[in-house]
Amino acid sequence: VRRPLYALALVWVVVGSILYFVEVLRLLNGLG
Amino acid sequence: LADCLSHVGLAAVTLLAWFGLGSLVLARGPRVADPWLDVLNRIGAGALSFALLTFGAGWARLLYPAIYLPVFALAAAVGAATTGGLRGRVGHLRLGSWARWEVALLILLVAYATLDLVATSAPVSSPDALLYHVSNPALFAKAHRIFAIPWNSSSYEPFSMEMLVLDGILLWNPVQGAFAPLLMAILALVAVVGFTRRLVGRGIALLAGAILFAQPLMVWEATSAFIESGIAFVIALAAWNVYEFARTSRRGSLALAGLFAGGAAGMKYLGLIAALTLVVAAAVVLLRRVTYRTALTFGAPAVAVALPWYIKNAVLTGNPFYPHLFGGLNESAQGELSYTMQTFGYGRSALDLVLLPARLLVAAKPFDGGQYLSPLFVIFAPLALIASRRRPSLLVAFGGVLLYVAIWFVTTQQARFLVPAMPVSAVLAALGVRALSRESRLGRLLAVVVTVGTLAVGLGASAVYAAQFAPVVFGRQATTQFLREKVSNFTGIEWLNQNLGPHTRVATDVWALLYLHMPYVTFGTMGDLLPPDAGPKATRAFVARYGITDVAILDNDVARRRQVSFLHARLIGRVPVRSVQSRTRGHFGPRHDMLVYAVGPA
Repeated sequence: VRRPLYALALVWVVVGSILYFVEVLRLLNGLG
Repeated sequence: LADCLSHVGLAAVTLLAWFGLGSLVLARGPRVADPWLDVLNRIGAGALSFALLTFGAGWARLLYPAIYLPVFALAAAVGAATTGGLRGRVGHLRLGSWARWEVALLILLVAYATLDLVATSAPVSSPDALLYHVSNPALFAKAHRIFAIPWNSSSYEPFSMEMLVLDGILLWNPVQGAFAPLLMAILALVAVVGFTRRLVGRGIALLAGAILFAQPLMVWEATSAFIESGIAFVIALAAWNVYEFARTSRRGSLALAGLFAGGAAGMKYLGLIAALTLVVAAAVVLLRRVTYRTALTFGAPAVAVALPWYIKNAVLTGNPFYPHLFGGLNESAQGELSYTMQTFGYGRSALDLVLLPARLLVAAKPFDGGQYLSPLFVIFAPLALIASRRRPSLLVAFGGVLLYVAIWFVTTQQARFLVPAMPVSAVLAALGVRALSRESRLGRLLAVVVTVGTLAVGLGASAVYAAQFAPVVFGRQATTQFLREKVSNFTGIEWLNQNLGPHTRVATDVWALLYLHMPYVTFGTMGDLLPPDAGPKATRAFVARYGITDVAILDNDVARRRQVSFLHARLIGRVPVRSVQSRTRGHFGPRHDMLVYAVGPA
């Protein structure tokens, strides 16, 4: 990763997707 | 199944009719080089023309199948004849040359379209559709004319989409009517894929299409006779035509952009907001080219298409923007509506604004179904800014989306109302995925994993949602049983239909108005006709004014029961009913009784 903008983008995608998938798992758990 | 296939077939003919009428309307219009855009322009212009013709016919008391069907058939015939000229312009599908992931995305889109077609073929059961999106057009079709519906303030919104629903009712029935919003969603998909393909090629175009269309929120939106899919389509078309103007400086493209922006403003006040946002973004892009003449080229068709709705509202209520701005007809209903609109979401503070992206990802339920919104918009659309060094217009597009979201944030935070911004956001998100993938192997891996994971989760949720409609569509469940399971208080509606004759007029507060056979009024969705705290005099005046013979209310509605005590009313029925909390999960509210009263002379 060469530029700060890309580094920021990577962090954003990682954090955003973790938040989302954790929520999905929580919802699935709730349904069960 | 035969019904389902007939509905789908007639929806296809409807598309042909829109294309045919649009081809006539634009016969002397500008020549559009891109064949996809040309076809979509004609279909969009045709749909808007049908909506305005139906609106005019409604006020001229001409809403008869015998009048509509020949026009429809003629337009479809013109459409069929005109498609001949397109051969060779629109390329052939050669799947052999496609990458496997491109074929997978195409299969995903086809799967979603199939789920949508099944869900839309079921009897109408979305609460808003039962209350007005479909029930109001059904009233118009029955009366052969359009009239004011004072108990529902939403009926004063611009109603172009409801006119297309009305066309479907004239063609066959309310289910056919509900196909118009689905067609609009599919057209928005085609617009997104067509535009992105032109911009960066097929693969990312299919990805943009999947981000827009392959998400549970869009399945719900497209199959519930909502309006936003229509706004999304015409805003996408307007944006594409603005892009064409920016590229070629042909003023015809700008006129078409105006036509479709005006079309959005003629569908709902939300469409006016979307159109104005587009105008701001376009003005920034075209800053040096904005002259009196270009403004007029855009503005004249926009105003011409939208104006009939605003004039109608001004005539009926004294205010073209009732019930949202500047007061008018009914202050208490307006206040109630504003209050209801503000109950969605978390709040409107600066902190709420900062937390909005995170909340849309992890805690979106308060945004009225926000948990069904694809996270790909929030995660990847900002990444398009990485690519904006080479394409500065992306920055403006992103700014336009942010402006729309900001207005959404301060007005009413319902996830569905973000749909008009989704075509542009989907293009940005797909470009964001592309930008990240190109940067590094890690970026590529991350983009693929997150996108595939999200699409898989979305497909699961969408399949579960659509599956509830399959038994009734494929004949394994009786329609009545389906409606008892999916429509709140439906057993009460059945009782009223069996026990009250056609010469009665029932006043009620239940929402399943589409299925009432006898004439009805409601107290008002927002207490428009009779506020809950109205006293004996106002209650008797309401009953006399609307010729009410019967009242049907729920036993827990203390305010209405008190008002019934002001009347000479006799209890004639007590029907066990229950509300539907979740159609998909089969959750019901507690049992109640619907109390039915016969109202004697005052």
